[in-house]
Amino acid sequence: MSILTVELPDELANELRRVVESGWFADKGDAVRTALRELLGNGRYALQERQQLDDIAWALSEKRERR
Amino acid sequence: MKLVVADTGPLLHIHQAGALHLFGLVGEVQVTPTVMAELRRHAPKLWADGFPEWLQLVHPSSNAIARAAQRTAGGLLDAGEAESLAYADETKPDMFVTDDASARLMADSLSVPARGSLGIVLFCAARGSLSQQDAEQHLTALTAKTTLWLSARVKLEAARALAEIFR
Repeated sequence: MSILTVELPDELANELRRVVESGWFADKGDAVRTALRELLGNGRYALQERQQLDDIAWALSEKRERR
Repeated sequence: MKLVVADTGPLLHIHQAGALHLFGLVGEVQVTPTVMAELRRHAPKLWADGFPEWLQLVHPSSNAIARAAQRTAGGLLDAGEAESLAYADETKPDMFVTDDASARLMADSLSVPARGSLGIVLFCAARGSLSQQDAEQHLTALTAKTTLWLSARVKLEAARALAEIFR
């Protein structure tokens, strides 16, 4: 087992606390391990990155049109 | 000004970044009852003194609600995403705003133009509605103060885009 220390934005830390308090996870580590397995397993982050990069390109094209 | 249908995520993320007024710079923003309920649950103090002028509560047709229910029951989308997308599919706004990858993918397949929170911040900068300092602050807040995930590459490219926009 490896131990990982991470900094979380307050809102994300609050969400993490809420899902643990909801009883869905034994503790924060359990929730984080589950989230990480899902993240690595479904490839969704690659799709989301492509969509965000598309947003960047869109904003730049908007700027170029205005010049 | 654009007609925008927004899902819960971007309104919440941009609120968390302290930049909710950016939506008003983009245009008129329509939200469905389920999205409003989700916002109330996640940000109870939001709009406690009344709604901003740019926000409009809209009610999807019974057909749109039925389509949303099917997508939710099928596990494709959450309730707010499904309802707002079904409404957008019906009304064809200029933009459907969501930070959910599946909802955005489905919007694309329905020929509904979709953008996310990052797009809203950068679009306002590109349109000249923000100073460079404000745009950079909003971008930093979007990554540091919200639950929105942005990859390292996206953060870098977004910073480069702002530099180009304000060159």
